[in-house]
Amino acid sequence: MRWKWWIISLALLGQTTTMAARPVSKSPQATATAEVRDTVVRGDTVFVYVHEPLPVPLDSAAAAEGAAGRKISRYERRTQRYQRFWHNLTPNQFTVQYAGSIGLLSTGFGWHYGRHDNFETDILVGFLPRYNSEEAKMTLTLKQRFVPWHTRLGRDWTFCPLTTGIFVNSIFGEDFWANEPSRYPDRYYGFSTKIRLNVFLGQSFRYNIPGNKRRHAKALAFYYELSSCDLYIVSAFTNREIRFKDILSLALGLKFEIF
Amino acid sequence: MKGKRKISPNFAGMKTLRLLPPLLCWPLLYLLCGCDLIEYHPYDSRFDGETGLNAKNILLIEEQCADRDSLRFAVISDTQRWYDETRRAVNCINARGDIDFVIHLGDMSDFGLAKEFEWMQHELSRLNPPCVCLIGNHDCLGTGSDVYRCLYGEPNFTFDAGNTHFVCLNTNAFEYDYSIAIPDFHFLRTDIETTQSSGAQRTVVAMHAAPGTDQFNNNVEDVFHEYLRHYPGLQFCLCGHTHKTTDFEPLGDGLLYHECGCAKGRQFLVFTLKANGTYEMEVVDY
Repeated sequence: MRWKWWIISLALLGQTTTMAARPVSKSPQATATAEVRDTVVRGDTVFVYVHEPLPVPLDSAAAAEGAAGRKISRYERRTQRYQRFWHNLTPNQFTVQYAGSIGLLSTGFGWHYGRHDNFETDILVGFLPRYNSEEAKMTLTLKQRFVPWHTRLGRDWTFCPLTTGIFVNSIFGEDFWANEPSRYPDRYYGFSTKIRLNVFLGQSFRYNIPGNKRRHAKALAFYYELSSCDLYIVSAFTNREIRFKDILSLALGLKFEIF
Repeated sequence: MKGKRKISPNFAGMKTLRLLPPLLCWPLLYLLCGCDLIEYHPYDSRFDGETGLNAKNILLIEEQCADRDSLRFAVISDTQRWYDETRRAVNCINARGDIDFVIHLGDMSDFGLAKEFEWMQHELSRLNPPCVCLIGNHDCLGTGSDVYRCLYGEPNFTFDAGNTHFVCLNTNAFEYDYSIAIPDFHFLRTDIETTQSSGAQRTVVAMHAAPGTDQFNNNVEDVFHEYLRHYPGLQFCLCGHTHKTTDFEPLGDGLLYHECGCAKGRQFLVFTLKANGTYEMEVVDY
């Protein structure tokens, strides 16, 4: 038999029992064929998964054989696996960020994942105007965030008291090199002007859009982060004149969590 | 339950809970601290404060040294990422009180970051005498040369202190892969012509990297000296870059270079140009 993970309810913690129970108990068909299999809590949201037979095969090939009464071909199985793989890689969040050492304005997509949405990975493209230099520049950032806690604030709000992680930023332009150009003797400068490694700490507030008001996103999060890069940390560590506050950079961001 | 419920101070768990909100709010405090937390990129070439500092300080130098035939100036160099040491040097120069002006021979920054220039200028701005800064090879990294140009001005510049002409040159040819005119002979020729007719008695040439070093365009070192000889009363050259205090003649042709060590070595040079045409050099440890 073919199964599909069918989400019947997305609700905040306080509302889980009532909302989850409703669709299951109200529909006689559903109770006959489907069963409440699993309840997964991700952050503040409770997903109730119900196994339901589906006409379209998606999951297990062996189950499909039983349902359709025929063997599916190797080609079909491979295609399904292939589709599932790319389906799981669909970005589920979009971010817009102001400042934060990766450009004046940056935007990109990413994934939130983990048992309680404890991890987030973002890829951001930033724009940097020319200011006092010769040309405007683009940057590319890979950001890895760890969110250990989610705290509920009222009915629709979630507060993450700590977000932390690292990001690697690459700036494009002929003035910047990842490895020293060949004209330099070995380790002449010993660092890269192009690649910056940064660490950050921050907090975020998330508005969980109620189900009936959703248009494009499940939740909207505002975050801010204080970061510092490798070169600044080195400077601050070796000088008392450079204070902790001097090396911090503030980022303000909006995150649209699609699903 | 009526009225306010009092929490017993003896309840240990409650105490730790009360600590929690301030602990969570520390980033908010930083938010309130001001707007200098906003940075678009370490190489964004944005900085706070005055621009065109060399021109402003040259005006001060020329004004206060006008019509004088003896001078005393200090030379510092390679202060990159040694902010504590630079502060000591600044304090030492200020404490002496006999310095007319200061020449920084380059490498204000280590990575060419705008913030580094800002930090270093914060230290140098505490100097009582006016200070001019040359460009070093580290200052050319990333957008550093653009920041230098904006903060201090053109990398090649000259000024007159009393009867002495000072020529400050960008000699970091290697940094640009020898693709632009460094040293700029056109600039030198024009300046030599004006100096010869200006009535200057002495000339001092300052640069970051001396001939013979990895940064200098050594293919033209002879030509460079040939040009310098046309300056009236050429005294000596000043250089930095190799981080040690020393005197040498790179081409063995009698033109002496006084090199100032880096800030880590905690030394700066003080030159006294006397009215009788001689000069004295003093190495100051701080």
